[in-house]
Amino acid sequence: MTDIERAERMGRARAAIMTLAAIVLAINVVIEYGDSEYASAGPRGGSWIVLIGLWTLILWNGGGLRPRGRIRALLNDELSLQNRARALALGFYAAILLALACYLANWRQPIATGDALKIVTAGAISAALLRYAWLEWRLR
Amino acid sequence: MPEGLANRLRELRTERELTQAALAELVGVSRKTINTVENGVFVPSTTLALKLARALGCAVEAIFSLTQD
Repeated sequence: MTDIERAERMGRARAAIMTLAAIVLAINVVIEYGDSEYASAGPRGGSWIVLIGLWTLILWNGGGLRPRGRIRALLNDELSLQNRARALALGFYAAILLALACYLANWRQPIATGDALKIVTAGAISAALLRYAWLEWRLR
Repeated sequence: MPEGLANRLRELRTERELTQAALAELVGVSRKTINTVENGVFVPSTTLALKLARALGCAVEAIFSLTQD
């Protein structure tokens, strides 16, 4: 198998994993909504920080933590970098819109700070991950 | 009037009997990148355009040209 084929395969796997991660993050927010245990100072609350931090890092560096050299360069070539920039831009807009939605919803019914922050972070990261995965699948 | 970017990459590549993967290998990008450049979906950087021209043995202007929409 050539480096090109190997990078292509890894790129497809990365897109699939990102899609799955976005779905899991969104489901997490729905399931944990209103349960203060999941947003409190402790293992459960802390795991959210790790989860969001990890996916932010992966979105930032392309997820190529393991492969080095040529494969990594192929995985993160010009097109992938552009896709990632577009995905991050969408994530930013999603964060702003979700923050506004939480702000408005809070007028009718108070939302706990932890829940609101989880909605914003998960929504932004999920939107960016889905956008990136979709661009990588579509443009192949 | 707005101007677009046309390219003859597919034509020049097939003239040289290169596959997308072979050209990708020569310039150090993914096959997907070559495919999207050929389809006009992705506009490459100057660096990549110069690498493509070098790999195909022609001038950049032979691959890319401006068109009026």
